[in-house]
Amino acid sequence: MSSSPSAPSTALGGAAVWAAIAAPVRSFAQRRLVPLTGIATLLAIWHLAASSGAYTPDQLPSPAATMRAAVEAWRTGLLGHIGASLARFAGAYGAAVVLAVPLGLLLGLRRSLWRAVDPVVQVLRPISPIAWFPLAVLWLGIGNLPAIFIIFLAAFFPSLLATVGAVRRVDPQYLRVARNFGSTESQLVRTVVIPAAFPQIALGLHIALGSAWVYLVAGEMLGTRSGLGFLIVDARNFLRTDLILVGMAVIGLLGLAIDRSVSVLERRIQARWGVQDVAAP
Amino acid sequence: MTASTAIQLFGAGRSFPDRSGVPREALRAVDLEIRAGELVCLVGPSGCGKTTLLNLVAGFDRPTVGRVLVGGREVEGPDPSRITIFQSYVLFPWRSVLANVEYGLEVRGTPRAERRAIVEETLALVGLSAFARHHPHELSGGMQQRVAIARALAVDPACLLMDEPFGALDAMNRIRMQEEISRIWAERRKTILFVTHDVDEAVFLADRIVVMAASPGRVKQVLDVNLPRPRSRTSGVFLEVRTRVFRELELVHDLDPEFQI
Repeated sequence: MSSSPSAPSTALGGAAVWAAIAAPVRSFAQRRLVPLTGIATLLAIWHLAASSGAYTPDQLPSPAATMRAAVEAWRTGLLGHIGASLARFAGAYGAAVVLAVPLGLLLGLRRSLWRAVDPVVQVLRPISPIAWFPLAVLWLGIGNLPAIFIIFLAAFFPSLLATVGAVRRVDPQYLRVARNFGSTESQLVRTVVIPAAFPQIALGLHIALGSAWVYLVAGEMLGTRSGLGFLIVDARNFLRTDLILVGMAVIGLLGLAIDRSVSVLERRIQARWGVQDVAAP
Repeated sequence: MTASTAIQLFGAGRSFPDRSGVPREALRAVDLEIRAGELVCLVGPSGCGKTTLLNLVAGFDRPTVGRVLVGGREVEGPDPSRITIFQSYVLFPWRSVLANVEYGLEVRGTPRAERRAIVEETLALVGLSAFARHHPHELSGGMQQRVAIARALAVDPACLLMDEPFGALDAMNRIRMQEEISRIWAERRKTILFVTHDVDEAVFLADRIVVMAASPGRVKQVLDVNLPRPRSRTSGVFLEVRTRVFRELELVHDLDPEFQI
């Protein structure tokens, strides 16, 4: 944050006082108010479009109508849907991380193994989790499992690739020093490779978190009876466009909240590691 | 192990294949013996093979001809009995100063209590006791290099191999660190092989100076520095030795900017 330049001695004292008051006000405005103008503009455009008469309320409910629907949804179990979605997401994402990180460590360390596995990963990765829908239902039926499977797929490949990349990018000088001190290969992995790769892995998991959250709705369209995805599908079946928008808004806001809290965590990790800037993979 | 000889090179050289696969000499066969407790500086222009030579002694690299012996035994790889100190410090940024210095003892399996005692003593030796809980990025370059030196000393190696260790520091800090290393050397009596391209640094520190030349990398001359310690950088005899080194580097008349007075 840049502080305003101090007033020259010839200026009126009032100017300095004003600058002292203005600076924190300006910084508050920049940090808190400016981001809100974007949201406000979006709401204004939405409101104008809804009241222009070009769309019926069934096609595009106004922000106010959506707000009323949100209150209604809150009274009729929105919190339960949020809980179901979060639980499903946590399970799927957790399973992806628990599998992808150790596998990524192994593949990052064993060059020849990675050479064998890389083509498989590169063929599977571009297939959208949505393309897995039919198989997910055939293999896992309908309900919780296919939804978890879809979110798992969305999180697994980015986590795996981030971990492999992070391990391979560990500064060889660190390995040199560790070997100089007589580290065995398993000590090398535990004391150097994992901690050195950790900030990059954390960044990869953060990105995977965001992309997996996108597939929450898709996964929950596969016959679940709860969750935000179900809420949207159910609202569509009853042509409750206002409730669809409520579901969309909640997904967006929760995504934002998750991303922000992970960012805080990530900054703490980076500060502890002394990392100034982690390059995006 | 013979009591007096620490490092021996018998016709040790290193070639690397160039792009067309023809071997090129990075270091032409070197014969050199370094006594235990001796401080030897390798001086020369870039491309003279001084880091190649150091890497052969460190065990990071193997000679393509000849033999390299440390403590009477053939060098087969890196070993905690000879620790390399790099220009870029290579501290572990995720570990505190204390945990960095502790590293070698930790992988060796030294019991915790003993470890802590050694680390405390070593940090005191380099004057960083107050910074044990800091992380490397919170320290200046000179302090980081002192942590690296402490990390090396903690495992009590017979040899320290220093690869332009103060090259990244400003002039004042470099002089301070040179005094520091000569004090530590006097206290701990390590064998030190020290690569530098700073002639003053070599004359200030070394018992002997190995002057090297480039293309192909080779040892040109080994000079004895018979100056009493502590050395004064401005004394007439210091300047005499310095002139001898410059003459060997063929820089007396044709001053290279790297070696300007």
